[in-house]
Amino acid sequence: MATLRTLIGLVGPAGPVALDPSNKPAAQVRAGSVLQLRVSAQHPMETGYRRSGAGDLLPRNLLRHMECRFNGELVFAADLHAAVSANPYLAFDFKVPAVAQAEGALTISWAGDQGVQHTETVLLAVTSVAGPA
Amino acid sequence: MMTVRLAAVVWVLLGCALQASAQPASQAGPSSEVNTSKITPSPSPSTPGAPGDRKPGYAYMAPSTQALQDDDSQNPAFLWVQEGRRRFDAACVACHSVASLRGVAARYPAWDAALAQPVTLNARINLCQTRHVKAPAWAPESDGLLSLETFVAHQSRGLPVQPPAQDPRMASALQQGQQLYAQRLGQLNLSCAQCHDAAAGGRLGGSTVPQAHPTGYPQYRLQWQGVGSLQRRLRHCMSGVRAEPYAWGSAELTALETYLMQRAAGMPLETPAVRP
Repeated sequence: MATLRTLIGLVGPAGPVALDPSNKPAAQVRAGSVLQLRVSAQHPMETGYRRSGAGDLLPRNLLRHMECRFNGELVFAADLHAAVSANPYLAFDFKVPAVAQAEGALTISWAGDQGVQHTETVLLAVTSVAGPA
Repeated sequence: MMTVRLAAVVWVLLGCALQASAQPASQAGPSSEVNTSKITPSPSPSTPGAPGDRKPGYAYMAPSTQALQDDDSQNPAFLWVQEGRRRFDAACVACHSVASLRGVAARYPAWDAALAQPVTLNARINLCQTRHVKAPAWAPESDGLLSLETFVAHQSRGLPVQPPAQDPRMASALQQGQQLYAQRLGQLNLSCAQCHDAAAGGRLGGSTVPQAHPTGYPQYRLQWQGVGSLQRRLRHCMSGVRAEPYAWGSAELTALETYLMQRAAGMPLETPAVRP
């Protein structure tokens, strides 16, 4: 297994919006605004301490690291450990840079045990301060 | 060791029975939570209780769990909905459109003419897989089947359950389901009705006993840390009363599902629900 199934969402003034990775902007955001980003991944987060019904130790299979970048700049990063539940969900605030840009790429990457490497990019259309959400 | 465990079981059962019998007497108001269909015969045996008395499992959940279900961007079952959409777009769009799926899940289980028996929604998806996609059938609770079923059922969210009650071919399954619902099972010798009709709203250990209306399947259970089908839930209950669970896709489980959907007729579908 090398990739993951993930969900990326954004909570703006109009409520939660799902962001689908594609080559066109998934949402419009206002320069300088603060939004909440929500990411989750489908993953068993096997601790390495449990045993199967047959008594064998289940090998550790954890997502170890997640990071989020906007146009290459680090927004948020987290190290995950055995106490995190299966299908981890992370929510964090994100301030859209105030510098005028037409478009920004939000990149979410995950790395974990058993060779898991997964990166997803969502495009955001950035409007000036007077524009919508 | 065995004696201690048996004693613990007796205590749990005794507690359950005491609560069930004490509730109507001690609580005048909330006693409507207890479905009285076992005590007062309802006009139509297939729809116990007045519609107003029926509550989905959602109504018994903690506000934090309800919030998890209410917000699509937090509901973990959407990981399965999204995967189901991807699979639907890859294999099913040759015959079906997404719009045509609206209301489908509300009408299952339904009659399959070729098999001449009732089939559940996941059995229907698996039949499509073998008959039309010409691919091997999925194993019960396999990822492909669960994601597709979750995606398909999600298209009916908010619509009332409308089982094909008028279909006379479904009558024997409905009757068998109703009989199984009331039949005592397992070492604990309990029927579905003893907990989910007579003691609904009471407690079993730390959990509230719901009325068993299957309005949110396939659903994400925090206990399972994943999405599961109604059959998984039914088999889980059967292991709970120490009975040997009916086989996946068996006529018995389909009949029970037929009865449960008839019993929940008119209640809105919630798929994908989140339950503790």
